[in-house]
Amino acid sequence: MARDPADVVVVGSGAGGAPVAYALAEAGIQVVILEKGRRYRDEEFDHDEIRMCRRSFFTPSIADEPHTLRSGENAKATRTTAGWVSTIVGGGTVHMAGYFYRFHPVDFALRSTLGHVPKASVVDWPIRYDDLEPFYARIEREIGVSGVWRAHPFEEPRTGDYPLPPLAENAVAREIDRACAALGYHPFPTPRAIVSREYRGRQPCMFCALCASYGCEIGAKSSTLASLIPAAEATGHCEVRPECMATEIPVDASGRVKGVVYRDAAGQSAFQPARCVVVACTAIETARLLLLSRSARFPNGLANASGLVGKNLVFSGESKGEALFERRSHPDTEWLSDTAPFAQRSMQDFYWLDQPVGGVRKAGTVVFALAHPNPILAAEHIAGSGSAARWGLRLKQALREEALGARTLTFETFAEVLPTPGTYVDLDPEVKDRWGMPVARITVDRHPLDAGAAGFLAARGREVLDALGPDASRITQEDGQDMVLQGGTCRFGRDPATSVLDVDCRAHTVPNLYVSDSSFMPTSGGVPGTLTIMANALRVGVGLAARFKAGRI
Amino acid sequence: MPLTTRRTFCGQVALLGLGGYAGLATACRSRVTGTTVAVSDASLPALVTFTRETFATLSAVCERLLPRDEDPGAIDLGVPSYIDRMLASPDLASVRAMLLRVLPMVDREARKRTAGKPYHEALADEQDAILAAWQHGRDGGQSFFAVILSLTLEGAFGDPRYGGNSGGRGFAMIGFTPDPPLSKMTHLHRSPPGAPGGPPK
Repeated sequence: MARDPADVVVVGSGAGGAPVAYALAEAGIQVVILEKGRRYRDEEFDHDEIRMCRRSFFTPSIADEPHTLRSGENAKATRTTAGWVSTIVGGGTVHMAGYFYRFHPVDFALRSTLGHVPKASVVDWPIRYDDLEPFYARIEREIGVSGVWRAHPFEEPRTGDYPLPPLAENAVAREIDRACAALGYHPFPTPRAIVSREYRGRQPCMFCALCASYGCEIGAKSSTLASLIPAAEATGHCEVRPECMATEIPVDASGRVKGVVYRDAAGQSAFQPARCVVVACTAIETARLLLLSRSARFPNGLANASGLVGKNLVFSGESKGEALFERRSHPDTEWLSDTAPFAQRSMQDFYWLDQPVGGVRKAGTVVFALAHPNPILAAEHIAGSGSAARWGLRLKQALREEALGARTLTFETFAEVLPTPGTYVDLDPEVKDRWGMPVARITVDRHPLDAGAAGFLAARGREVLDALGPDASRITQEDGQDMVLQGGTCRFGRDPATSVLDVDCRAHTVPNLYVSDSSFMPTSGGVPGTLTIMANALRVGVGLAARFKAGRI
Repeated sequence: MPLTTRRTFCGQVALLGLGGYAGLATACRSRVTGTTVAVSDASLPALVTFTRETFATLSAVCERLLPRDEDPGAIDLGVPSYIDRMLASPDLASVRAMLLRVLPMVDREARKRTAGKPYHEALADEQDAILAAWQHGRDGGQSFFAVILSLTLEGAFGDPRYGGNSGGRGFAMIGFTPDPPLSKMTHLHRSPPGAPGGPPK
């Protein structure tokens, strides 16, 4: 079934898609958003851990739509749920924790700062921090970000304050401040994409126990579903079409894209013609969609003349640790009985290391949080797994002592992950999804310095936890090898031989095709990329709207 | 190289038996009386996945994993019924198939060891020894043990709407205070009237 032509089709409604759609719709350009996932009303986001966290609520079922994963080109790829981001209107922004740090100036110039890094494909970005700063500032206002300006000496340059004051914090924040001061570190209130006061008709955070991994039923979390999507719809120029999965982007004889072929909510094949297509369905799935869109003109996949679509996949270097504080050994510790859910402290003292440690010069961010109170997850954590799992009366006793009689403070790191030629996405030659299309195959060959950066940050995180006097502490993951916060499969750059997209995130070889999710990122940065994806997508949308107005599409 | 997914999604992975395992054997032993479960009791709720006999095995296994002491045990919390009902979900077809295959094996082992007593009538030590063997890799894998432990914890500490965590007593055991129900929250509709997510026009 063909539809009336749209000016622009945006594939994906998350951090990469919604800002583009918003900028275009606001400029009076007709936009259709195709979103593979369902649309939920706020009230449908409940706090049922089984439904939200332990079944395929946000992500596809591994049986229907797996990715496959292999460690190096010679390994056999196996089915995995790794690398998926939410399939829902609003994407991953619906259930994110909402740690909304900006990138730092050094993140835009890593190659010229580090020099040549053997075995890595590090490059500078074709724009500078200053180019993106106005879009950071605007997107923070549009969606509502809370934080404190000038709270620490390592802050990126800002031209103005956060639009909202910081969220209320648990009393542990002051303990972290004291411990860090003694160690010579500079903690600061974690900027959050959660509104701390009533904001543009949205209700402020009510400080539920369960936040990250859940949708917000009052819209206080600044997901695109709570902010940009309704704002775009309110212009009258944006239609969100849920449960529509893009399957191909066809081209005409001149090599311009014609629109998007998709599978609609009823499972029928449909076509949405458009003058321009913007792809934003996550770095891995965006690469897959382009590679699936083969034609006589683009036999190796759309916009893939360079062979670089899918290459230079990066993640964020996540290491983790925790410390247990028993109530009986801390009778006077105020925060153990403080029910406020957010510890609200981060450190960026080690974003850049003046003295390299084990070859690492760029590390990243450490964030502190009270352990996620998901009760089943907490019980599983206390039980342990495999041959070491506790059960029976021993488990009952441990549950009483550790869940009831103690609290756990955690840290998580976001370390630089260096792009390598051996970490990339292509189409799996064997495994297909439930519609018969090849799935994305992820090949991973991580750079040896990644583990060093994540491990260095983990040691700093644990150092702070230990300074708080816990009964026990441990690093639960120190190599930063989790596949979280993906990016980089369609790098932007100035040279069509070494990048897929131009500076405006338009495909070098297809004049009316854009990519606006994290695929554009040449390097990972030392913070979660979400705010940067949104700021860049707003930049892309504003630029595209101007091109429309100038009659150049 | 460990390649894992993030945060709470690891709960799902563990349930599918894909989680990683580490550490040395630390078998649990208990000298309390075994868990005896009635096989034929007209007052028991209808079952959707298991036969009455296999349900008795399941119930005894869950109770050994989370036995009653001063706090409620798995049966008090409705865990076996939770599992029986949850396994009717198509998403868990592979888990259902595995439990339908393995639980009768557990029962047969008990009958072999005890000269004919079913698992649910065996002594606690016998019940625990059989479970420990599965935990440490009986039948070439630990996935049965991982899955049944995971499901038991779901039934004990999950949302009471699924029939487990009876009366919220599982939450109370670990000091978890659930968020207030939606009806207690004031809603400000942010979307324009008539728009998806907004109030009706």
